[in-house]
Amino acid sequence: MIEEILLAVLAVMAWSVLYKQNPLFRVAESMTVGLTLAFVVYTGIDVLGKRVFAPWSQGVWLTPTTVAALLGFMSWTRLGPRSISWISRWPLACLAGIGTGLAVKGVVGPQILGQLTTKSLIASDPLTSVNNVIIVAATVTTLCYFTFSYRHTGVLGASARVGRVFMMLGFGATLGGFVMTAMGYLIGHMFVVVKPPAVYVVAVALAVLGADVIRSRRIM
Amino acid sequence: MLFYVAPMLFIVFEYYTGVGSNAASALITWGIILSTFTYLIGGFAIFRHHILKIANKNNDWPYSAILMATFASFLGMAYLHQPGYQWVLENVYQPLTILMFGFVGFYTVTALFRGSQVRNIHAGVLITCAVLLMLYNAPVGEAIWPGFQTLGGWLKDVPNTGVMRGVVIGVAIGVLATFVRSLLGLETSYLGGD
Amino acid sequence: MKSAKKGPTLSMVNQDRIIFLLIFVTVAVPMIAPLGLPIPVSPTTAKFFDTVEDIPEGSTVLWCTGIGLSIWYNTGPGEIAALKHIIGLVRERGVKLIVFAQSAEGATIVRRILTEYLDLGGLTYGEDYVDLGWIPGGEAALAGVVADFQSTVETDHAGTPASEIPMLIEISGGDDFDVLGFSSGGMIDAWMRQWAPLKKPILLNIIAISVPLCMPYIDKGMVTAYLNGQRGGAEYEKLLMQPGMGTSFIDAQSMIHLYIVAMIAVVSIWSLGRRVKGQ
Repeated sequence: MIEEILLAVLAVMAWSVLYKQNPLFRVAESMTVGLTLAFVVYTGIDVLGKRVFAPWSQGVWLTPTTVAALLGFMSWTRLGPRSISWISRWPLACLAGIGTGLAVKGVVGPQILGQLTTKSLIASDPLTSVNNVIIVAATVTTLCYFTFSYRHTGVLGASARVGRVFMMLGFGATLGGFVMTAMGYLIGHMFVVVKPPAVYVVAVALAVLGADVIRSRRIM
Repeated sequence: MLFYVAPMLFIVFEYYTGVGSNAASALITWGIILSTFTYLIGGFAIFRHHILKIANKNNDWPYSAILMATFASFLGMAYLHQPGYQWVLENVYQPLTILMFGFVGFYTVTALFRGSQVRNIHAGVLITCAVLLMLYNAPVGEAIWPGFQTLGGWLKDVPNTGVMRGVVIGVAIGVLATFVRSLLGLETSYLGGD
Repeated sequence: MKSAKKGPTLSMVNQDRIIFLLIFVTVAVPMIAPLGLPIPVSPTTAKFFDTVEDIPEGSTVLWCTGIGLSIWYNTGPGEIAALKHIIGLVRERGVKLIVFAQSAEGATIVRRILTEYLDLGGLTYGEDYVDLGWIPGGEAALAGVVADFQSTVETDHAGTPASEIPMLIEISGGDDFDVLGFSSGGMIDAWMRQWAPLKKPILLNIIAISVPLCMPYIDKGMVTAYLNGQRGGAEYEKLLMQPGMGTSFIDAQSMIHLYIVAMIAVVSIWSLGRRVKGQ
């Protein structure tokens, strides 16, 4: 029961900004950042403890982990004055290089060669053939739209304009899915908030809100 | 540049030749450990920003004080009283995180309210497609007319697939372009804003 | 000269407040009085269910929770249902389950699902299933797990060395996994770059907004089957005959979708009417 009431109080504090900016929302916002900060620090130190400090405490020093840890400590100089913060460029460059290397090694297969093959444009079923032609047309015209090395005139320009229409279809599909995702954020908590005992907290909050609306109308 | 290019080249070289698997594994381990250290940099930066705000009594410093108090008590509980930490994690931290993301839902609807004033053919196509996909995603759409499933499914599986395939190829080419630029020394974004 | 008579106008702030109030009412009503709308099972969810059901005896399943706390209500129902189904196979067919998280928040989600939502009675931790906790590094973690498992995974979530966990000793990389699965709150390019070349069945639990973005991989068969956000979770619960969070939420999803479609229709028709009148 106390958890449900607490959830209702937090919901009222956080969503009160939908009415107008107020100190309750600022407190909820500050709490969120403070809790997240503590969570980040605790989990980060926990992982470092398991992967770096635990082997060191057992006398295991000559491992790739040690070199990575030294680079990691160097990266923390980023928080220091300019006279030492340049040291952080090396480990951060190393991290960026590793990330880019991992991305490049996997990009050719699944993201380029895998996407360039197409199903048969003359399938046994005419509807499938039409669909495959549409997919190819949408892919080619979208790539034409994003080709900025040449002016969009002539065939390229016409393809880019067709690509723009196809892209509206694609982004419309994404927008349709966005609604379900966005609503999912608030539906989960509403399930608790509209039932007793949390609903009593909400009722009080709505009464206060109504009183504020009436008060502001009288002032106007 | 050496720190950036060398690991990148070696990982790609190992993938295509199979030579140096142990070293490539070590590099991946470096990436895992380094990312943990950089994960903490963000936390420390926010910590320093708010401590300075409280010390200098800048604008809105009481909220920074609340932030620091919350931080200290949650971190203290994590090390001194695990059951309390778990309780706060499930009943305060998780709800607040989700509630703060809940605004996305509200402002999505207001954006749709204002954005659905169709001004041209492209906007009309976008909104029509969005509406069809909404009715495809919601179970009630199929209850109203089963055709929404067919139509929405076709839009998702055919024209949308073609468009997104073009986007994926474009992004992949961008990754390769970054690779080539970094080999040529033209890529300096990893140096930050310096 | 007569001035044009103008009706009362609402400021944008008040328009927003009315919209927010209507959202609350639309979501609250089906929560208080469930409508019991039918949940038809889509072919995509049915395919996910069948793919899991067809996992052979003795297989090893690697599941990566790539979601954070913020999208718990979106992908949580599907995550719980999928892991319930796989745990059932662990019990029936000796399937092994390895779970890890891509973020610290994901690790708390995994812990929560394993301790609060799954029936692990009769199963032995370390022999039937294992929770590796958070493996940091993003794409590096995904690459490391399938390239060199022993170097990447040093401990489980509790700090037990991997060398002391029986089911992990023989695992060296991607070839030792029979099925890969993951949940994500955004783009899945990183998983596709690192896991698709293994040519293993890949299961995906993804938020609804990302489904259209992932279609190139789904269409090419790199992703074997997927769950479409909250609806996919509700459908999966129906197939498992174990209603849960997803089933509770789906009525409200239907109503809010209808509200938004009606709002868009009204505004579009109104604005088209204004354009026709030349205003």
